[in-house]
Amino acid sequence: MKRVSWRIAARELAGGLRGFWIYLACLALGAAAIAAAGSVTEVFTRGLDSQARTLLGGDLMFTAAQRRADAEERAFVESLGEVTETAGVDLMGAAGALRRQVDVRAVDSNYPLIGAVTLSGGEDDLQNALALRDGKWGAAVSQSLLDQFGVEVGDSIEIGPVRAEIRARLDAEPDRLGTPGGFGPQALIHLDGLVEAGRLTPGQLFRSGFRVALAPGQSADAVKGRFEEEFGESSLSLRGPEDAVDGLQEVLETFNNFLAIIGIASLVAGGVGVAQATSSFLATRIESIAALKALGADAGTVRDAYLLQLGALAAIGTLAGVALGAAAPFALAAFAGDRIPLPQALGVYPVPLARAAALGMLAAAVFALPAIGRARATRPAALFRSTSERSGAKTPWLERSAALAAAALLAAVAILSSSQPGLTLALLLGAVAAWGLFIAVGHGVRLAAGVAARGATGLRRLTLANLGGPGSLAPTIVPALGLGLALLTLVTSVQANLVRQLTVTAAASAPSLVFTQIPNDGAQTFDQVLAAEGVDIEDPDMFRRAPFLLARVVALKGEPLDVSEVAPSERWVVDGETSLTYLAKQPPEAELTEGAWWAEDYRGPLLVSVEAEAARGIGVGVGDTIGFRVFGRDVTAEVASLRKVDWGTFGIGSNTAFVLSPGELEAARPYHVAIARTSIEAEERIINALGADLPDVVVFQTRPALATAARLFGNVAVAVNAAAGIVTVAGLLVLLGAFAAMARKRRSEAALLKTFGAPRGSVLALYAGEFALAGGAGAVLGAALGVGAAYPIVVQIFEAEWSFPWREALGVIGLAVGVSALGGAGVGAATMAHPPMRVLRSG
Amino acid sequence: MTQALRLDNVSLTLSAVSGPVDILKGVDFSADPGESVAIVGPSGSGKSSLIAIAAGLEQSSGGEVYLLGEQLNGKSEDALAKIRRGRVSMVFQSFHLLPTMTAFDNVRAPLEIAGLDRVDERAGDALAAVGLSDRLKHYPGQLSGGERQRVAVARALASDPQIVFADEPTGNLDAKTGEGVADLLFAIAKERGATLILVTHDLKLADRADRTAVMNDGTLS
Repeated sequence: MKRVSWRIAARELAGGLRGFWIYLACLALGAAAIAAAGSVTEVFTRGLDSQARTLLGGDLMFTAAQRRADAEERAFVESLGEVTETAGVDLMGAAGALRRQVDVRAVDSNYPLIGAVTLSGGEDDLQNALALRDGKWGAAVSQSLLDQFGVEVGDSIEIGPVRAEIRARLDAEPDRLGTPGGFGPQALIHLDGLVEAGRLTPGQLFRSGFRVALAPGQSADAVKGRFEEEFGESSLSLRGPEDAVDGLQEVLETFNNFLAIIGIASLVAGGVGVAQATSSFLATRIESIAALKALGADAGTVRDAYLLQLGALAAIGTLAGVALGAAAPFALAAFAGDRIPLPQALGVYPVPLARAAALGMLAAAVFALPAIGRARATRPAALFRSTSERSGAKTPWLERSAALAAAALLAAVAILSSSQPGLTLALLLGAVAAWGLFIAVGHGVRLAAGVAARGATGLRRLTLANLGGPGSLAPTIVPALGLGLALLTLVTSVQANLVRQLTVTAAASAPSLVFTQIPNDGAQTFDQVLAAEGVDIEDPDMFRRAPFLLARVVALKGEPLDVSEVAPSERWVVDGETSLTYLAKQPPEAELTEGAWWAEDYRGPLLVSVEAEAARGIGVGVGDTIGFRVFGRDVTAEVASLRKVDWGTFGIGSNTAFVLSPGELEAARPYHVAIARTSIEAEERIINALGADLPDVVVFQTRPALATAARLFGNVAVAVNAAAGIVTVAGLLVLLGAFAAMARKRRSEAALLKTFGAPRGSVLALYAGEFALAGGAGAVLGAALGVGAAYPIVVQIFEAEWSFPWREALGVIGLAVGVSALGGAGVGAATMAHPPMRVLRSG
Repeated sequence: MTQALRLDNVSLTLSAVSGPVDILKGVDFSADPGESVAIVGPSGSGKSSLIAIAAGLEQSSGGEVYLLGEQLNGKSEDALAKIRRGRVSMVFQSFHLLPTMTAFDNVRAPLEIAGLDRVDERAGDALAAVGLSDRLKHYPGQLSGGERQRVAVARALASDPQIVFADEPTGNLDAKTGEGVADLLFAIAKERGATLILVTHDLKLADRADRTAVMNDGTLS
């Protein structure tokens, strides 16, 4: 690069950054979004990693469903080091006349091995808080339990079979994230209390587990190997700290990838602003470039001079964004740290910042290089021509190729640095396709406006002629605004449908009460109680009851289960315990896709009906066998049929992956579960009636849970919307740039219209109309694409009922048209701020 | 007979960083219907400010302005626009055609804003009168400087205005082209009975007007 290029660049840059704020803001916004996403993810990922042992509650965790460890397993675990045993169970709490389900955690005297339980309002020491005192066990309970039951520390409460005294408020547990009781009342009691009451006997619904702090010299991997060797894969489930936050890590990764795509999309949307600002800047330099060339400067010198300037400006914008992104975790911690229930390792992490910087600079290259090429190609003869005559230069192949290479590199960096490259590639392809469509439509709008202008009259024709003529807004505004609005509509449409699913569809189709822990021999009594309270137990749309078992899939087609061969989307079926039932009669909503249901009186070898997608995921078909471990016993069932399941319908039997034939499992005399639809008033009566006749039956009310879920989902949705809004902000930046450019360009036009006698309102309406049409076209297409993309996500991924999101789509369109029109009117007002004669004289 | 334009003791003072600057200092001027008046004077003498005030595009600091019999002082922008609509036209040194419109559309625009009838016919006739019937669908960017100014003249005269203000209409054109444009401007103004107020440096052009007024340091003589 020649020294003269450096000199020209330095001299021009010394003039300041005026006129470049859109260029800088577009790059800074995209880079900031990417850097912030990466930094925040890193902060939480490292935070979780550093707390993994605490969150697991030890070095290893052994768990079992519906049973406690047997003597052999217990002896093995206790030989490893310090051990604590816990159990989780849903029980009915009762205080005065009120009975409600309580999420109970029972712990032994060694709990917790790592960290401390935070209590307040009474006893500070956990063991004192839970100990048996004067014939009463103690309990530490969540604030939500105190609120719902209307009790205070010092009051008594029945927790299932345990009569307990509330001795403290439970504020935090070291091995659980978030505030206790977020989803409903929660209580911590002593394990011995439940054991003494006989509530942890095999077959009942509960999960038990050990946490172990390994003695010095013990290695987790060696213990795992030894345990599997001694007890086989299908005994207790075993987890290490690396599995403690498995799901959360995935959520964080997905969050990071989602935000990174948003950052890239905002770079693309903002790229129009970069291209626009570059073109505007270079247009003001055309005469200088032509003069330089006339004086003997070669094309390379000219290109390098402007490459250096625009490169330096891109670096300023990108680095500003990166700095903002690096600061994001600190800002988040300062403003919302206590509301985010995740451990944080605050710091500045170079990898996500370098990625953001690379993507920002590459985006600048993609969008600025073509304009630099056109400037390079300026002929000295341009000095002798007017602006309109020299604006049609084509981008030279060199800069065009370089811009394409930068685009390919940008995609490569985005894809290769993503933890989900396939998803990132698909999203990028989608964004590129949408981008191409928006550009095409932008040009289409320009052509259509040009044609429509011919038939229009007066200011309307001027509006259309401006939109359809040279320098039209449409090819700039439609893609820049449309891409952001598409994403915003997509997110709000999905959110609206899911909220609707929770508040309307699910509320209408879901049972109002769910009953668990119905004793096998109390099933008839249970039915009678419900019938006496007005539930039509013969109507399958109002009431269902079925046996309930937790089992593990241990073999497929006669071979031991290999989880890695199961499709990730269906791994939930084989990962840990899965619920199953046995039914004689085919449920009315179960639609068989293959095979046949067994006869109602069938008592032969065990058969199973498998949900069709789960069957595909685990690779079994009719005639294959599946091995289950139920209550510690292995049984094998032959697949008799595959069936479609509509998870949203009212049903039990049909809503589990596996329904077995009766007979063999009946001997286990499992507990039953039931669901019922009732009025709110009847709920209270049923809960109380069961309290008298079948006190162990746990009743779960779905209405408040759905409301809580909708509220929590709403909170998450606000954050997701805000993230998706970044692309819209990029589009708005471009729109602002267009406003500013147009306010300059249209000054003489407005002055001229005033000399023609056009009233002020007409000039304002002219520009408001022009921007509203361009913005509206982008918004309509954006909303259409957003709604179109939301449909498969709602219907196929979330399997929810689709309701056309009119409010969201029209809201986005209305907002875009409104903002555009207002900005256009602002442009009109700006153009008329100077006396027309002075404008026309200076033009 | 009502005068087409009358300025009584008009002054214009603008504020500048260095303090107020007196642009016009008590100017008296009038023009009769159908009369052509050239205003000449050195650069910065206030010629353009005078026609800006006369056309109601700028408010004077003092004095009274009557355009086509209506007093302009104190009137709102929209009221002034209404007075101009269809009756007052302007021709500029830099043409000021709308770049997004064809020559034909450029001529039609002020006619439509004025709500006149036979818009297409008037626009076609005006362009034919300036010899540009074959350039109707050309955009300004596709026309030469002389052609652009001829379109501007057609646009100014298509509405049969009662008064035309021309600010250095040949200033950006070569002598021959400028002469052609001036011929058209004078001929069509005369043919349609319009008052023509012409600001120019070109004394030869000024000589073609019925009379000449000289502007010097904000005063007219």
